Amino acid sequence: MRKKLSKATAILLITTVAFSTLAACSNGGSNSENSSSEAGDNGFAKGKFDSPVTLTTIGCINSSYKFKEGESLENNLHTQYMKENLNIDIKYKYVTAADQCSNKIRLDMAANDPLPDVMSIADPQLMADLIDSGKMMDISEAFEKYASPELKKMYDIDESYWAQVVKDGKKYGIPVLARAQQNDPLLWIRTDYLKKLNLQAPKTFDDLAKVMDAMVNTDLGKGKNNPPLAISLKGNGGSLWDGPVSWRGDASWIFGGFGVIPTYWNKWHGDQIEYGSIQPEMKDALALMADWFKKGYISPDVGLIDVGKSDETFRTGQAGITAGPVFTSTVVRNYVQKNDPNATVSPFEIPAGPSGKAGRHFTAVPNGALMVSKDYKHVEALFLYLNKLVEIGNPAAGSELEKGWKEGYDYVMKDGKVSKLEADFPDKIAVNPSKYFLTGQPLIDPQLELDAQMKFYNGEKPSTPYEQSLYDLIPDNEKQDPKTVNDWLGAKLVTDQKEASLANLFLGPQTETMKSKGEALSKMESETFLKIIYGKAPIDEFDTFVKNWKSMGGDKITEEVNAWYEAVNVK
Amino acid sequence: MLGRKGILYAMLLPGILLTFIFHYLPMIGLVISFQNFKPWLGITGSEWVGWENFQTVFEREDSLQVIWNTLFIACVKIIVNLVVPVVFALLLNEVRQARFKKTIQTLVYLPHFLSWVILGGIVIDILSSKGIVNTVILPTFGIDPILFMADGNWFRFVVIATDSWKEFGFATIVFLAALAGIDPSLYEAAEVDGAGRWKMTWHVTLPALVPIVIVVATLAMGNVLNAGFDQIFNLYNPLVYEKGDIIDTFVYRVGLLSSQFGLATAIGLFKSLIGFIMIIAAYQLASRFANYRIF
Repeated sequence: MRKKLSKATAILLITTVAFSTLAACSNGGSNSENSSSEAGDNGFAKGKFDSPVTLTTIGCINSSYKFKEGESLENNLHTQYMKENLNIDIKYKYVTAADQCSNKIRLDMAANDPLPDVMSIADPQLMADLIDSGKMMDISEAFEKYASPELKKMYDIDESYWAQVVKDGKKYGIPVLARAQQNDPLLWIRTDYLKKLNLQAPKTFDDLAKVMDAMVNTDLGKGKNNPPLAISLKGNGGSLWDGPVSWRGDASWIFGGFGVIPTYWNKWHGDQIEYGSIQPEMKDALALMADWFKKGYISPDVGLIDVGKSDETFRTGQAGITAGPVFTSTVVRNYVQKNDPNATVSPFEIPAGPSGKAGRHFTAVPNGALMVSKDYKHVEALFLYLNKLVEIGNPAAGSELEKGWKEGYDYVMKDGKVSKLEADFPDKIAVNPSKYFLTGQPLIDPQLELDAQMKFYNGEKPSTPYEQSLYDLIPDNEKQDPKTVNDWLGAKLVTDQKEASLANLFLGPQTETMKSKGEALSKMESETFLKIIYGKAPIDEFDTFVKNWKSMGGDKITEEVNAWYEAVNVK
Repeated sequence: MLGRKGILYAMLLPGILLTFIFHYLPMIGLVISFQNFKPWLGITGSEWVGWENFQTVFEREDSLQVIWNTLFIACVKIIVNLVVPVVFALLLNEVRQARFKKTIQTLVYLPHFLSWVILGGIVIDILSSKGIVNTVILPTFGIDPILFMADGNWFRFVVIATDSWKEFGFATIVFLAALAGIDPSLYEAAEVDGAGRWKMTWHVTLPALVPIVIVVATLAMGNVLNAGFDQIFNLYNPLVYEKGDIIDTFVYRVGLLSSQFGLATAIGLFKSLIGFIMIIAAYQLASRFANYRIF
């Protein structure tokens, strides 16, 4: 006990000393720099502040955040880089688990605590609440004044990127942009199974049914009667059910084959935005799902397991087909082929449904936003920072970040070549510094990655450092024939089938009626759909659902959604 | 100066203070249930909406069903969690080998410390179509696979059975303690009168246990609207909403996820009120029929 105590005291002492020295250092630093001129733009134009500017923020981390020994979100190569190159001190008000972040921010709001200068907000509800609270800054003017041409170009592509942060024509944040078509699913099929069954890859739902029928009735080494299609319908457990649309083990394409995506708002018929789940096409889609369920193509657990569990059946080879985005290639490489070295998997286009066309869910490009406190005096610092992120997101050849951020962090040199494989690192830890960014991801043109992968697919070699880094992610033995690299083939297929991605036009926060009635409607929807698929309710139950949905507040919600859409799409 | 009594009262003070700060002061927050509460406006600034939140809840088509589910699951749980530990404590009390007794006691007590987040995953796995129950146990008895977690009635059964399995060891300890306190001379006297084991249990042990059973039951009545959020939340899915959706999971989805704090508080207030009434009623019954008094 005594030993323990003294150890604790020692640690305490060390941290105190360390902190005080740190504080002393930074004090000293700022003092000397404060003496330089405060006039003018403080060095914005030349890309580095003359006197240090502080930017407070908060950190929301999850288990995917890795740090090198002795580093943390508050102090790492990213914060050091920004201090050295831009003279911006990034200070964290707190760092907490990502799933606690929304609550903490809400508590701060409730307690009327000063909010951090910049926050990355992903929850659309919180975003709307923050805008309503009147504590956020309209950044329209600052964006015009300070954003670099490259940054502006990125946001010029589509005005709808701003939809979530716009209110009354004012922009209350800078959207964080996901990669284009990042989550748009493709069909991933065990080609070794296809070969054993002597079948071709499916082009239509009928073909697919034949393949699944053969798979379920043949012992492919894992026993018979294994549901061949790995999907999940449970949803992510939010207040509104989103079961049919998921980022892995997706089922949206089954409905898409009939022309609608459930839970999505779009102009399915005519000019009015309508709810996908109540369209007449849904009835046939549900009937097909029920049929597939009865025939054992889908797992009897499809309504209770999450995407991780459904993925598992594909990883272990029980299921031969799954629907997932381009990056499912890493699942194939790291799990399917580790479990079974003879396994071969290829991505395929989503097969065409009875409507004659294929359909699937899209990826919303805006994925949260950086929001700025109204009280922040140095909004130009955020833009200097963002401009820098754009610059290093796609670094010029020969620039200092050409190979990566820092040797030993995100790359190592092996036999004179850059390696990003974790196994080559001396401490077996490769970190991804872009996770430390305020945006939590690199700030690059949404289309950049897909375009590069398409280029590789066509046999071209990388020509920029960014492309090189992407190219290096693929192990050499797979690169013999570029047409068979799953990542690149997937990029090509997903782009070729771009038309099939059906959009959700409603990206706003829950409307008033959605808040009070939305959960009840969604509960009814999930119950009805799953019961029909499980064969526990007749298919005609769908008509009752549609009638109830409309009368129990759905019509009102439709009006509100259309009003929202018109409001944000005013040019 | 204070005198003996004064010192005793002074020792009570910290307890009263803590109870006041953490149990009574937060009750001010109950006004949220009559407001359209916005965190940044606070209790004083939010719009006053009267009974609207209560109206929204009780006007829903499924609200009666949710309340009924809660009552059903909670009541069966209360009964099972009373009967099973009592029976188990009686059985364990008959075990003469001390070491065996202690081992069993510890083993059944252990699940109490597991979180439902973990147990939920395990239960779903074991009972899934590819789980051990459906692939090994049921086929050996020639029974067709059962989708336990996709059928409302089976779901209720699973919820009650797993809860009882997890918690009965904890309750057993309370009853074992009561059993240890029974005056041995009573047993000796019964033996002299020629009573066997069964008669002794019936006429000595059980009557001695009644007071503690009543205390436990009375306290449990307060939970009549608590069917166990973390358990059900980790086990349920849309297929079993009809039989398994309870007030707390409902509040979670409606109130917290959509940040309808007023609504969530309204339901909380309703629950507390029912719980309060139930405790008072149970206590009245206990004092009338079993002549048992706490206060």
